Amino acid sequence: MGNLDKRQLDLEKRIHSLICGDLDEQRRQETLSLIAHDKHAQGILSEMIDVQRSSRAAFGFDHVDEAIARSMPHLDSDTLDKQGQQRLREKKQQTPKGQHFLHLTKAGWLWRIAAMFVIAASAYIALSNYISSQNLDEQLAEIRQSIAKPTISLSADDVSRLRTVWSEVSGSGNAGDTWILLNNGSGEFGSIDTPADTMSRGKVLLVQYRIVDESGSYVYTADLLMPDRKTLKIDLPDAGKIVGRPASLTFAAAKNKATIGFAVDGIESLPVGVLGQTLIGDKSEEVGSFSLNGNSMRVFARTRRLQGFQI
Amino acid sequence: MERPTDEQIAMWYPRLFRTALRMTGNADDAADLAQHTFCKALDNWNQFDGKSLPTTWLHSILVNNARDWVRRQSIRNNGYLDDWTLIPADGPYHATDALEKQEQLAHMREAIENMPKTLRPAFVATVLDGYTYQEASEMLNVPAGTIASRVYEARQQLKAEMRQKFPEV
Repeated sequence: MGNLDKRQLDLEKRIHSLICGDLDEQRRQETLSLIAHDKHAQGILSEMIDVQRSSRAAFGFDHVDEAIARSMPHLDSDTLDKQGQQRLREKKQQTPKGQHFLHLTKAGWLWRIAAMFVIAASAYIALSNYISSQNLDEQLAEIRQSIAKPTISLSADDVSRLRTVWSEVSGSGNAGDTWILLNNGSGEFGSIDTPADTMSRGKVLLVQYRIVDESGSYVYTADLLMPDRKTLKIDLPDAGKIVGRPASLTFAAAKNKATIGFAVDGIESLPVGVLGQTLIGDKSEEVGSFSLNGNSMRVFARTRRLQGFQI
Repeated sequence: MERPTDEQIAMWYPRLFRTALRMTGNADDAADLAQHTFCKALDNWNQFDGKSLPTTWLHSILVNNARDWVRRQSIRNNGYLDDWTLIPADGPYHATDALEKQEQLAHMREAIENMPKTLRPAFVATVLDGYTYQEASEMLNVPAGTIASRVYEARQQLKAEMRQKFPEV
């Protein structure tokens, strides 16, 4: 004992609180994010869940979850009413003559009635929350799913950097026709073939592509910048590589919807990839998944409008 | 102190239920005991001073209720009311019909029951009952860091024992 340092103890406490469902949403997201990037934390989480599951099974506690779920609907006013009456009878038998028992009981009943309403109302919430949160397999799957979901961030510095890149690239040509692809530390740019209809002055569309493998590791990241036209379609047949295979991107936008396509050349087979629709906004969405060399690849994207660009 | 919200009651209930189950050894009685605890706690919520966590306070009410329950059931107190005495639930071995799995679970249970007394309460409170380290810290009156350290140590001991006994798993 005692061979854990403060950081390790904090990590143990935090991950256990995550399993208990005792973290607020912000802390929960922070902890999941930490686990996503820390193999050691992933190991602790897995070990805690495995030990909890097998220990509870050893004592029959795996069936307790069902018993708890069954008993929650009995947290209703009828049950509590009967309990209250039983307690009242017990108190009557125990109360000496001359004591103002009835007065005390009325006050007690007021509390009890309030309690009945609180508990009866909570029973439905409790049951649904409990079933959804306490099944360890589901919880583990949910956490693993969350771990594998990348966080697509964009800081003010990132936007500033994009403005500079945009300004330098589009300064020599027509900014209204320019696209820029930033991938693996390098950049490419070109012109959109289709003529412009209407576009928003000073605004560009930024598409952030993120592809993760089963372990949640990034296997492809790319940022695509384009003018914010009313309708737009762009095909980029040479958009970098994923696991050593050439990748291509397709993007189309109409009003607030974006069509995201991603494909990879197969090995002695047809290309594989995904094509899906997302909303333009702040939210990152999973476009879909595909299998490459037997590995499952999940494609996430976020398309958003950025202001203050030279167009 | 503000009365608990529906969500809080929903979150606390399973922990109390598991503790009640360990004490009564019966799911129906555990449900009665846990419900009675909530009823009593809400009756007396104005007495909760907020110096401890609500779950710790609920736990103490549960333990007192359990003593009353035992008296009502006319069961001789033969150690059942040791807060951390482990009493198996109904049909502990219904989980699997595989003999090997049963053997593993039985060994696991034995290993937990034979854990050093310094480790077992922390392990039972947090892993079996599902209390947080902070809640267990208040119940057992030791720092949360000590709880974390003891639970970690208990896990490592369990793993080592299970690996020694079942190296193929």
